[in-house]
Order: sequence, then structure tokens, then C-alpha cells
Amino acid sequence: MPSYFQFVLTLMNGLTYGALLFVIASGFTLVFGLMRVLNLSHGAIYLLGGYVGYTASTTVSQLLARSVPALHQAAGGGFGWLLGVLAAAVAGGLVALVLQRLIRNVHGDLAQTLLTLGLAITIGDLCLWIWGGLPLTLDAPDAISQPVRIAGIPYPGYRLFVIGFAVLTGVGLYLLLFRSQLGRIIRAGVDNREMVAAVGINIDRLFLTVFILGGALTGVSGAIGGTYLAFQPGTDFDILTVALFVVVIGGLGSLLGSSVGALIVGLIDSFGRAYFSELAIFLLSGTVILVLAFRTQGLFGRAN
Amino acid sequence: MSAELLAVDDLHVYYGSAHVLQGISLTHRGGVLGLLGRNGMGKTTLARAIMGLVPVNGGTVSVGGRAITNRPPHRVALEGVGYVPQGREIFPSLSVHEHLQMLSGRRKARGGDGWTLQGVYDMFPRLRERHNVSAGHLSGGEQQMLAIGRALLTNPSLLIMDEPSEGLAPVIVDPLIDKLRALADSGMAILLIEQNLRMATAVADQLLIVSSGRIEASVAPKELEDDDQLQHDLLGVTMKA
Repeated sequence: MPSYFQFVLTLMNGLTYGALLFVIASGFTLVFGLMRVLNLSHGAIYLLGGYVGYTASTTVSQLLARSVPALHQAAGGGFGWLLGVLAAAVAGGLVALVLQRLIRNVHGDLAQTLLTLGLAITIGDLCLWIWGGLPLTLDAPDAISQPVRIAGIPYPGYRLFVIGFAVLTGVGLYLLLFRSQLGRIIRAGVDNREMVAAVGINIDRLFLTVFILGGALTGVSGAIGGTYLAFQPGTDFDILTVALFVVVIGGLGSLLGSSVGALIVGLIDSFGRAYFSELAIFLLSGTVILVLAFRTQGLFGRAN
Repeated sequence: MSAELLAVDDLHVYYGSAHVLQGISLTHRGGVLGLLGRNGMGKTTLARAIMGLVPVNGGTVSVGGRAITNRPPHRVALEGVGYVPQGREIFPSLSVHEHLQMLSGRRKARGGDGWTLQGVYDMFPRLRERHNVSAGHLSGGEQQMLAIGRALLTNPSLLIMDEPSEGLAPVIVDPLIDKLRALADSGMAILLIEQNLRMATAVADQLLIVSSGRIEASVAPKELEDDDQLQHDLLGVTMKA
């Protein structure tokens, strides 16, 4: 039954892509919700995460294969990959740190947005200079890349790992925002920055924390996404566009909105490509236009 | 100098070309100091300038002898100034309990035990009943209690309250007057900004009349309460219709 096979595969691919998009969009939405800064360098941080993750994981894997081959074999490339993801988190966090230090001296939404765009172009060019123009991917560790049968169909284990990682990220962010002291302060800051400052909380430091958190998460998503989707120059703005689609559909600043928006975009993209390949891009942008026309704030966004 | 909880000296604030505060000076040595004046006379701007929420263009502000002019708001709060803003400005996304949890134990009191979450609930039992309710769904009076509780948990040595009676029905204002009086009697210094003559005269120990960005007069509450002509001259209104 090739059509059944195709349907399940398309559904799973849509869910996997949606899961990755959720992780990408949640960092984006977190930063926007609190700071009202539309970070157009978000896609560039994703791409940088991919490149840094690639270099760190291949370097560590090669070193390990040469010096302790037995351990390298046993870990199945897991050490290199894990360190790649960690390095991507650090790279993303560092870019966010630099961006926050730059942006706090710039006032006005337009000026801040343009600054993030300038940073995006700079990072993109630096990546091209360092890593060249060829598409790259990270090697998935053996332990999480074995095929798994789903509804009778073998599916790449790594893609299931991506779904699991997105679910964990969602739960983690939920606990952070709704069950922790930092989360209470972040939500209060989304409501009213001035009053958060007026009760003695250093809002500049809060912004920095959230910016670094968002940057690190985006860097990680670059390494994790880059393990099954090839990345290259141009991926930065592709990812930014899709992240914008997700938050426009789901509603900026809402975690629930990001998850629903990401699933919608992932499924439309996957089914569009599989069944209506000529229409795929129109289906996606058409959805965005419909949402903008009838519910400007997105499905779960706050009207203001 | 150190006896002054709050000293404002020749304070000037501009909004663009509008000269909103035109050289305000006042000192607060404890008790309840009331600032009374009609709408648009600069009372709220004064509160915001003390808190560091609007830039000061001239003059100085100090708290307990320490200069805080143009310090960022969180530094002012950490110097011991609590702020209950006009319009309450509670956080609609947080529950009542989360508001208090967020601040509980952040800033220790200078001597003494300081305010605790339970202390705030004991002062406003209504908040305890509503602790799981989203603050956006509270009534105006409940929001006011929450705004006061939130400010108290920063363990201030001076509490600035900007029009706490605004938009509240008289049956809500009366218990609020009692609470503020009780708070003042327990030793909390309050700078009370009001348009409501009844509230200001009931709570304040001394009243300053603000007009067009200046302090126009300093009167005792009793004196103002009993003198319709003085009320009319200073405020353009009287207590009796």
C-alpha cells in the first residue's frame, strides 16, 4: 500500500518538522514577548549553531577516534555530537549576549529591528567566509538513529528523537515560565516592565538572562535540526521566514501559540510538498494571509 | 540630614517642552505626608520622578540621606522606596499568590522582621481568599490591596501611594482609609498623593497643596477640613456640595 506508506511518512515528517519549528519559534517568541524586540538575527543564530555544532562534533569525533578508538566505537559518535550541541548552545548564547549589549543602547523599535537585521547579515557572511557554501549536516549518534517501526512503517529514529526533544523543551519552558521564580518575573515583565523595575528587579539583567536563554536554545536547535536537515548559506533567512510564519499563525509571545503554529506549519509544509508540490509554498503563505486577515494577533496571541 | 526619609530639592521635570515640575521642594520625616491637588498639576510626575521612572532635568532627590536622583527604578526600590502607582498596575498574567511569591524575601527589612507573604494576607484577608485568582480578574478594591501588598513586600522605609482611592466606591474607600491609618500607626512612612479630599484629610498628618508643578501651601488636615473657603481657594472644590 504505497499511498498508506506515503501518508504515514508525510504525517511523521510534518510532525518532526513541526517539532523542530517549535523549538526554533519558542526562543523567538520568548525574546519578543518580554523585550518587544523582533530579533531578525534568529535564523542566523540557528545557522551559526549548525556550523559550530558541525565543527565541534567532527573535531571531537576525529580526536577521539584517533586517541581512544575503543571509546569512540562504543559511544557510536555520541560524544562528538553531544559536544557539538553544547558548543552550539554556547555560540548562540554568546551572540545573544553581544546582541543584548548592543541593543540596550539603541532606542526605538525600528532602529532595534534594523540592528538585528544587520547582525543577521554579518553572521551569515562570516559563516560563508569560515565554512564556505557547501551544504553540511552533523552525524547523528548511532544510539538514536536506529529506525523504529511506526504503524508498520520504519521511520528514522533520529527524527523521533527530534520530536521527543521538542516535547521536553516545551515541558521545560512551561515549568520555567509557570512554576519558577524567574518565570513569574518574566511574565510580570511581559505585562509591565516599569512596575517590575519599580519593585526592585534589575530589568536589564532580566532581559540579558532571557536573551541568552533564547539564543542558546536557538543555537541548540541549529545543531539538532542540522543533524537531519542540511544547512548552507541562505538557511538563515529560510529559517527566519518559517519562524515568522509560526509566530504569526500562533501569536507572538505565546508558548501555546508557538506549539500549535509550529505543528500547523510543519504539517502544511510536509503534506503540501508530498501531495501538491506545485502549491506547497502558496499553501503556507496562504495560511499566513488568512490568519492575518481574520485574526491579526494570531490564534493564541493577545490583542492590543 | 539623616533624619529625612525623603528630601526633594528644587525638582524640575520637562515632558518635551512642557515644564511639568517647576521646582518642587519637600521633606518627609515620617508619618503620612499628603500631596493634594487637582488633576494635571504634576503629582503623579513627582512620584514617577522620585521612583526614577521619568528623567529629572534639575534638582535632587535623596532617600535617607542618599542621593537617588535619576537612579534606575530598581535601585530606588532597593533604597527602600515602595511604590503603589496610579491605576494599580498589577500584573494581569500573574495570580494573586504569584505576585506576592515573586517578591517575598527578595529585599530584607532594615532591622525588624520585615513583611512576609502571610503578613500581607493577614492585613488583607480578602487576598488570601482570592489567592489563586488571576490578578486581571480582581475588582478595583482587590487590585488596590494587591498593589499595596506588593509594595510592602519590598520592605520599604517609605511608601509612595498615588491616588489609592481612584475609581473606588466610597464603601471600598472607608476600609482602605482604616488600613492606611493602621499602617501609618505601625510606623510606616507614607507619601500619599490624592485628589480625594476626604481620604487625604482622614489619613495624612500634614498636607501639601500642589498646583501647576509647584508646592503652593502646607496646611494641617484639620484646618483644611473645617475651612470651606480655604478648600475653595486652594483646590477649587469643597467637601460639601
